[in-house]
Amino acid sequence: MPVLLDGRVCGHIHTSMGMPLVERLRYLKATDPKKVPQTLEIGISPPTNPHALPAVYMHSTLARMMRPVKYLPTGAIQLVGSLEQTYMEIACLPADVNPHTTHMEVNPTNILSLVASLTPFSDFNQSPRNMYQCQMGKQTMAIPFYSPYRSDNKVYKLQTPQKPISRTRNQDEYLMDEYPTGTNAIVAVTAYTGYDMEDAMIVNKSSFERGFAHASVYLTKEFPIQDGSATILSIHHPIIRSSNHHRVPHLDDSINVIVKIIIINCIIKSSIASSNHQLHHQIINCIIKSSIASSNHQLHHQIINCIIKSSIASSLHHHCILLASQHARRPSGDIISIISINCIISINCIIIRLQHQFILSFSLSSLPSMRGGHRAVRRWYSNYRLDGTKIEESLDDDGLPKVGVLLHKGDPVCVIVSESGDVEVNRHKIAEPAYVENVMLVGNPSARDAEPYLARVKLRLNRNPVIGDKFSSRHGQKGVLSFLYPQVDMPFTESGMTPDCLINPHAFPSRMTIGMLIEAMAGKAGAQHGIPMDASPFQYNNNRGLPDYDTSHPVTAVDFVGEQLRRAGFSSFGSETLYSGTSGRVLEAEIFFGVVYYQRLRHMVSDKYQVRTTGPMHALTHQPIKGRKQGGGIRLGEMERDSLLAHGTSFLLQDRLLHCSDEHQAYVCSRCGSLLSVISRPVASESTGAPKLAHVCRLCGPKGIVGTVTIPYVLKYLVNELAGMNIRLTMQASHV
Amino acid sequence: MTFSLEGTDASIANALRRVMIAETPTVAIHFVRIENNTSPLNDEMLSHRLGLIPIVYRGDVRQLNSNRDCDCQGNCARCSVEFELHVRNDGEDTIEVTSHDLRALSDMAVPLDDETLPRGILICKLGKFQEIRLTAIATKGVGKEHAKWSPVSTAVFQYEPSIRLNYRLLDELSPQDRQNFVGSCPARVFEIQDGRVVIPDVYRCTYTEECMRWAEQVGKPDLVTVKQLEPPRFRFSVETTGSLKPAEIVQSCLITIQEKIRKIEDLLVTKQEEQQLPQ
Repeated sequence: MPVLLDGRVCGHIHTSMGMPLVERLRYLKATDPKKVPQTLEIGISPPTNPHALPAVYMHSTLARMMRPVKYLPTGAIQLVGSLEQTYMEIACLPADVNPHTTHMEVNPTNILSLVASLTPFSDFNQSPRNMYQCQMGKQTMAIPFYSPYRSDNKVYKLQTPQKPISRTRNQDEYLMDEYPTGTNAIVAVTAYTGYDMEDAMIVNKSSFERGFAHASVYLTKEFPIQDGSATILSIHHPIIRSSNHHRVPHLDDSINVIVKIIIINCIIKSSIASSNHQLHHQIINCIIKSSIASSNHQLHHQIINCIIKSSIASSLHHHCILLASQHARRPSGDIISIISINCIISINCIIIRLQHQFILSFSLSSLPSMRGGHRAVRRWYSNYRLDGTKIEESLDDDGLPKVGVLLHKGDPVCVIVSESGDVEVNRHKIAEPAYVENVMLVGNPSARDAEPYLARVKLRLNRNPVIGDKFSSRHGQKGVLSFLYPQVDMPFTESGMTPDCLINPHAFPSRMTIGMLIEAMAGKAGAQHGIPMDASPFQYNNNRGLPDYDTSHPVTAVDFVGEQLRRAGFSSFGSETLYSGTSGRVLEAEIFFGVVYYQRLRHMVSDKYQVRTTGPMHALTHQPIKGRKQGGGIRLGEMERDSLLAHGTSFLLQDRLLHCSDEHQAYVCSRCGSLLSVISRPVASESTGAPKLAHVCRLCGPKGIVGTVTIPYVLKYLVNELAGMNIRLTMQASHV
Repeated sequence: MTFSLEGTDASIANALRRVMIAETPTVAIHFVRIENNTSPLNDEMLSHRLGLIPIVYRGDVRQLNSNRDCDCQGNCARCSVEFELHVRNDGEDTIEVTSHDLRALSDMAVPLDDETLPRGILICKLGKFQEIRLTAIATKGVGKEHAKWSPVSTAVFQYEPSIRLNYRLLDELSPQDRQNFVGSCPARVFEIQDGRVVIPDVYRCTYTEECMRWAEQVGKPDLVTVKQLEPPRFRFSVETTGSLKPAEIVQSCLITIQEKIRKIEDLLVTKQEEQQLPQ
């Protein structure tokens, strides 16, 4: 079998010797890091495997995934790669060790991924719930990062986060406390008002007012100074591969060709030219003189060429480019201007240490001219027109909003003024009011006084919980906020405590998330004793695999936490007697009451609600358009139609499908039955002789009998489409 | 503060509780005008935190006008108290902005100053060169509208339990079992004094019924019974946030209830007059 190192065959070994070789190498890797590096992955695909080529694979390159496991022969920690581990015997527990086992997990929880390891007591949950939680853990509102300078499109941030009381070990290992995802909520499991049916959740209004699950959404809006400004900007970053192979990014190919020719020319000539400064000065002076007189295209071309030549040879780049740009600024023909512009661009490419601002100002004014044929205008951020009058009162002088200001729909956000006097006012488009979090101007840092080409305005939307927002515990138990219930109406405990939220007991029997119940108990005990609780999976009741298994030890989690609850003066099962907040009488049933870490999920009604009375219509069908963003409607589909039919509500059905949709008065000729043949034609009125519109059938002429029918507009469209395929659809219309 | 309530039922007790939590007027910061805020907290959050600071009003809160009904434009001394907060960190180290930095512009109110909180209530932390400059207007309100106006952290009543021990059966227990019985209650209602089971404070009972469960397990279900006392007796405990003294809360709560009753009375009288008029 071949032996490969980093994908290259470096030798062959007899198949029977493959495994001993690998074992020897692994042993050396653990004992003698000088001979075999610790990060070497030593994999073997055995000849018994029909799917992979039998070989010894070794990898030593950078950026491979490796994880630590215990190497049993020496007891040391060894790094194992992703390829080799599929063919290795890695025991999870000491009890799993068999004669073939070579490695063992450092910790049994290493079988879990990052997101999975954040679920407390996940070994008590039904497995699909843990899978759901792995999906939901990624949708939480949390502390996403600490940098105030990031400008992501959309960021969800929890304003009042807490560290969880019930925590897994990996919570510490992955520094999750720096990026908390929720709040420890006091939860009572009871059906209290009916507002907690079907996974709804009642939240204490006072808890909400004190900051429970307060959050914000940050949006970044960009206002580029010029559309397609990327073309110009790319000039700032020329790429030089070799002297005669040039690429000016984003320019047309034809231009590139010209550039190449000129560059090659320049380089050849400049290499011949001397490096005498005095001489160059003289040349340039001559050119200036001659250029004043000339209006000849050819000459103009020459002049610019000369300037380029001299600029390459001399160290007076600055001066030369200025000259070149002056000349190119008054081009007398399109070709000349293209050439001159590209000359300058190519100079930029050749001489990297160039003054960018000339190129920028020059190309801003010239580049679009060779595309569209008219001169481009310079634009800048400002709140003043060219005549000095202020444009928007609410904005700062630079045409950008003040930080901290509240923007409503239609308020100005950014004003761009152009050389030609045009004013572009960008407004706050979304219906939700937003605060200005910060304003950033983006420019090219390498240019000393380059103007900004982009303004970024970061907005902050207040997203404190409202009815309909989604919450979830860490056990795949999601629910929506159904009611902000006043504190006085909430049930209260003997000690006067009211829960932060109420959830329905029906959430548990079918889902079997026992982990959540234990978390509630552990959280309660932890809160009372002031200690964080270890909620790592596989900690309780399963130490039978360990040699020091002790039968008298409190083995189950419920026993362990229950004892802590007892010591805190609670029932060991976490239940409490509660009193009705409205009547003050005792609630007969004992109610499960504890502390559960609740996460706010990023699905919020304010992003999803859809409302329409009347609104935009589809041009072709005359039916309401779809889509929340466009103010469209929600489709009343076939199944909805079926249920309306089943209820016999025909008027409602007609209202939905016709009157509120694409009701249309169509003309039909009842003689030929055609919807398409009727046209309107001006005719003289019989009595007065004044012209008026008459509807006549083109097929039947004066014999036609034209009347109107109420039809859905799409029917007319259908008839047209059918007519296009030589199918005639006729209506048997008659006066009723 | 604790007090007992007797000779009535749960409805009155609960009315007291509810009014104390939700309808006792206090003063809290309601409007904030931010002049400069370069702190790490955003304006809304800062305002929210300011609102939750208990404000001690030196006069009678009930005499203060509601800002909405006051005939002034904006706010005036009859309906509000103004505060000022101006902190700037010119040093190198991070500093704390606390309720002590909140300066009242009149001597009618101060932010809570309690010896248990010598450093005050933390509002925000400021890094180097960060600054907060704002004025805040505190107005009168009730906890029903926003929790910041609620003067209590807990206001709760307990039903006095009636715990009846069957001493005859208790005596039948071995001392070890008696100890176990006492230990069965997580709230530690029972104690053993001179070999006898005693109840030092009935209000320790939280109706967990663990003792009854224990008794059932050992086959002596009549050993102990825990019930609510009949007729009920309540023990109230009122814990304040600091904006009012507990006694003031109870007093104010009673006045509110009186006003409510008087309103019903007045309505009844007018109703009666209306009915008499046509005759």
